[in-house]
Amino acid sequence: MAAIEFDGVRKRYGDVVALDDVDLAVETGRCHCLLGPNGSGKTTLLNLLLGLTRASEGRIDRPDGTIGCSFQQPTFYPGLTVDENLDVFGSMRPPPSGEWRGELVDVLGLEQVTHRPAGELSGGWQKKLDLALAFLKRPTIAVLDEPLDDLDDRSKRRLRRFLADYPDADHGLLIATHHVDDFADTLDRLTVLDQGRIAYDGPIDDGAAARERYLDLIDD
Amino acid sequence: MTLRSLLAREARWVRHNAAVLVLVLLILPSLFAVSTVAFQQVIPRDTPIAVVPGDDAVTQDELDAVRGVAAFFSRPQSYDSHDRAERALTREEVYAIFVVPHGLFDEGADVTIEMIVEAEMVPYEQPSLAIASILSGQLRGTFPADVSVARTVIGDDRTLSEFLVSVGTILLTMVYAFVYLPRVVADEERVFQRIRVESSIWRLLTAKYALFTPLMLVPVVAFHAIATHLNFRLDLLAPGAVAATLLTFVSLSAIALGIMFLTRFATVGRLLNATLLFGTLAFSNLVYPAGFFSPLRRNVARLSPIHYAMIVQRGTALKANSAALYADRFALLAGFTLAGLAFLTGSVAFYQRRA
Repeated sequence: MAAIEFDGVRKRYGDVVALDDVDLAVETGRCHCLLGPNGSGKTTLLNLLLGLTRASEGRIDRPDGTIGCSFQQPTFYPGLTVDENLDVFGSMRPPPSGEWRGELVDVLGLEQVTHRPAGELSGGWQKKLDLALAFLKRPTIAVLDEPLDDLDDRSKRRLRRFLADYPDADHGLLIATHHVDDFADTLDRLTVLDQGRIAYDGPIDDGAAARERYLDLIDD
Repeated sequence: MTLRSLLAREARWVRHNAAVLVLVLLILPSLFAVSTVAFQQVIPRDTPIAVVPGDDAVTQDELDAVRGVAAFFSRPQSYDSHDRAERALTREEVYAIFVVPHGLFDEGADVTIEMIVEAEMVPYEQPSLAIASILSGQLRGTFPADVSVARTVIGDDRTLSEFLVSVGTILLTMVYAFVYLPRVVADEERVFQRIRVESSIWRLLTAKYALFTPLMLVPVVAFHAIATHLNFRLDLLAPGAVAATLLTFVSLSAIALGIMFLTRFATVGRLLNATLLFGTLAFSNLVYPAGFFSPLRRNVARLSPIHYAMIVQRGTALKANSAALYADRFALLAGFTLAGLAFLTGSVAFYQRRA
């Protein structure tokens, strides 16, 4: 089921067209991967999807309160502890249950640092906190920008398992990454952006095929 | 890295910070130099004063004559009744009242012009003595009558310290508004994206005001407690004084935050706020009467809502006047606050559109 739909979306910054005539559906039950070289319009698309900027033309159906996000630069209150950050953002849109929050803390291994100020954590811990905040309300669609950056191998394995289990009838993932191989076991739909236009959008069986497809498109 | 490399880096830094450098090294000093023209003399020669007839027998010629003489050291304004002039005095629309007696043109008559000043307007007290003395000298020989000037002080005596505690409350409020709150919000800029997804910047700002506006009462209470401990006779917690202080905080902080959003929290925004802070301090005549240093400064002060916030705060805290006396000033401050909030709203909308 499509949770977010782009219909003929165009985004201009002055004379520069960052996105042009984009049709896209992000659905529940899927792990949707967004690929594209630097400057392809990925960040603009994510900003539109998150409601951080407005489309110049076209329509975006984005039901309120259904999106969680993890940013490339972790985003939280650095002066608050990990627990306090979870409390603050949890109170904005409450998590479905205390158990869900506990599960997130466990999957991401955050229990070791819950009482430490978030701003004093290393890059990896900060990324984990950012991911926890993305999933805290168990969003319909979780939008993740390079979710494995800065994570150690063990944490990457745990997170990949968690991500593989997340999509179901009510939930889905949109992952923007340059490292499509990392999600070989998880992804089932691929969108490739190139120079602001969708170069490919469709189902895909595995990460290797996605990578091949991506490289073919970009090389062309 | 060689010195040459480092110098090249400095050159690049200059290129990347050109706007800030132009502001700091060119515009600010220029503004400072230009602003000195507003300080022309150290005795009050352009302060507004009221000229009122002492009784019905006073002629227009007598009023005009006194106005003419008074124009050498003030900006005289005519009032038709003593009550209206006194109301203007306590509202700091004028800083002295000259009561003109009949008989100025009567050869050999012995007449006295009464000069009324307020005791609470402490920085004007000594200058008003000098003015009375100068005026006496000028009047001697100007009129056929034998004219003298009698200075009357109304209200309750206040010390300079008491006067400055009242001023200090508004000064500190301005610092919080232009420096502290923008700094607090700027520190949270890195979390704005998540806030915008999970909630909104409008709600974040509402929360900030819900916290910081009542927090502004803490320094007011601190000032009041110390003033009470020192046996100062002023009530900084008078409702009118508190309202003026809080309106000052909300209006100025809305402008300061609006500038921060417009400049996307860049250094140039902080510098602009610092410039506004010093400009407001220099030109709002918070301590000295309007017209103390120059007519230009008087005119600028009369356009500044903070000038009126100070008058209201001083009037209710130091002079124990009723807040109702300043109803029009409160309306002005409320309008200014709404305008500030509208500016902030526009700035945030611009910030979000350009994100």
